[in-house]
Amino acid sequence: MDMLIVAFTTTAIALIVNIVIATYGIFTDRSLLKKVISLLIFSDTLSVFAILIGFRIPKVVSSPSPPIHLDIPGTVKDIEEFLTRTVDPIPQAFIITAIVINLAIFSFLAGLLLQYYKHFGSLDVHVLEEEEVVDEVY
Amino acid sequence: MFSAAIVMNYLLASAVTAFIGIATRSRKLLDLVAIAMATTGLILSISLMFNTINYGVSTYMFGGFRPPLGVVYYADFISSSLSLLSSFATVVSIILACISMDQSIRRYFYPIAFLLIAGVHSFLFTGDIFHLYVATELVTITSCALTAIYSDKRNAIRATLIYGIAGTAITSFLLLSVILVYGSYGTVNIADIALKSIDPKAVTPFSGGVFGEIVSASITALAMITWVFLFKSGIMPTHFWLPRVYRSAPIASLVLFTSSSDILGVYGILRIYRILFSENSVITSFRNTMLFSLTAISTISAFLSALLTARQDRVRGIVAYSTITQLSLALAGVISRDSEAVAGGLLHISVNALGDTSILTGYTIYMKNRDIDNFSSRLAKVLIMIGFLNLFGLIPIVPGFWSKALMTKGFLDDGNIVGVATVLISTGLCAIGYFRFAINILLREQTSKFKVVSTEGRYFLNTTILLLLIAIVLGLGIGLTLNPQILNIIVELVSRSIDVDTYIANTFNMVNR
Repeated sequence: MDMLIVAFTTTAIALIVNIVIATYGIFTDRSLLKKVISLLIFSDTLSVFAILIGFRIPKVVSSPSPPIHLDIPGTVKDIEEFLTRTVDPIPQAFIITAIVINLAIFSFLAGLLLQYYKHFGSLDVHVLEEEEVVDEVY
Repeated sequence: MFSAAIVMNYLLASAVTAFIGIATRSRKLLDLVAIAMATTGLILSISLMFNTINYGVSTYMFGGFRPPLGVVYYADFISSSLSLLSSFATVVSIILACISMDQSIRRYFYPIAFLLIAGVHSFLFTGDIFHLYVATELVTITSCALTAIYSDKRNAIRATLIYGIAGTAITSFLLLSVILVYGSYGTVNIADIALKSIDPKAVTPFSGGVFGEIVSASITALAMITWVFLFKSGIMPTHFWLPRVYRSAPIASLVLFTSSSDILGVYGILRIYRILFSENSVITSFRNTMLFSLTAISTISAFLSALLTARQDRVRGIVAYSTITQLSLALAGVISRDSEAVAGGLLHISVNALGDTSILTGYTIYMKNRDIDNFSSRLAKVLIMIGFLNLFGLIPIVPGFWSKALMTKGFLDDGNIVGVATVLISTGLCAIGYFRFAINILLREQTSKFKVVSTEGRYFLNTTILLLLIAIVLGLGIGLTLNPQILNIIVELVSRSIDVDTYIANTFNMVNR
């Protein structure tokens, strides 16, 4: 059982390390594509992190179960047992929302990357910037 | 009730304009529907403002679920006044789009602009930190889309990518903060978190007591959220995206940014420091350290951006760096201990939005019409001058004077001499950029290298929007000059809005109204 605690802690540490590496990639890499990939890794790490928050360690709860209550209406004892055994569904609800948002954002960023490549012929963020026509009214 | 109606109106407007844009080729119908729906939003915001002033806080429970179980909207004086500002900017932006944008682009502009404003209002009203994250993401992605709406402009694509990647990464830290807060407090309702951060033994219906160790989670979350909101308002040193975006985005988008999406950072910091982790929370010591750091950041940001404003000679550059300066001053105001400085800071957000909107609108109409319509051209010049005077803020007939006066008085009462010096010196430095540009516009010859676009059928819109802006800026300034008692009422209403006990009590005794 102690091994499970070790595994849980290791996962949490691994996720934190992943966040640090992804952040480093986002802010330091020259390639915009690699920045977006780092961003994707960062977002997915956060999703796993949120799921971990709602996780029940088997040492504390004998057999964790999904948050589905089938005995309707159920007795008070049933509901109490349900509450102690099930994983927390709210982080899962957060993550499903975040995943949908990320889908929209990454599709948009992918489209922008294509446009960027079309204009500059490169995905390097430091490609020479043109003199801007800043007074143009549009 | 009004708060939810406003958000619904803008979501509906987004869907309807998207449908009309796809289904018909009628330019007039699309413009008419967009202006009508933006005006409906403005009327609803005015109603909300009156409701808030007359009857107190306006609240709405989604699906009838009581907090902390369900998502709630909470509209007090601060959020309703910023809602009014955003709704007004939407009307101006839509009219500006009619004046200055191609028909093919307007089909995309209207739905995205309405979606942005729906996100902004969700951010302003929400009483739930996860919903706050969703609203922030919505604002970020729609702001990016509005910047890159002319996909053939390479600098716009570049600016959007830089803003999009940095904005998404930083907003992800907001999600991480929400996860940490939920993991320790067991709730995402702002009032519930505020209550438990003051009294960790508090037990509320549905969410119960705190789950775990809240001090370190609160410290981490506060630090990350502060960084996120500094970025959203473009306060230095997280400002790198703002000048690029302001140089590349269409003018109609800039009006929306300066009046709605960019103000959210300062508003968010106010909410986080006054309500979520208030003065008596379990992290008081860290909160005070952060407030001290924020004061230093806002001071340095105001000075540096004012210096850069003085160096600009193009309107977009001036508006970009001036926005950073004015939002830095507003930030210094809202984090002050004095209620007058807080009210001054909030008023200054509106002043900056009105000033920038006046300059951008006046400039657009001036550049489009100067050789065709002399009346519009002269009126546009007047509006540009009023906009600069408002941002300069040393003449009492413009509201900019009163926001700076309130902040200065608040800083003096608080013994914050650095704050007073920041307001005065940054005003002087910005004035160099403002007046150099204003004089250039006044002395500019009528012939120009810029392409003259036909104003056929747009005369009415041009004159209406110019007169409306002149009337609002001068009306507000003269109203405050003739009746300074209004300022005391504003300070009183702001003080009530930032009282954490009132917020918690109103949320937990919530009825839809």
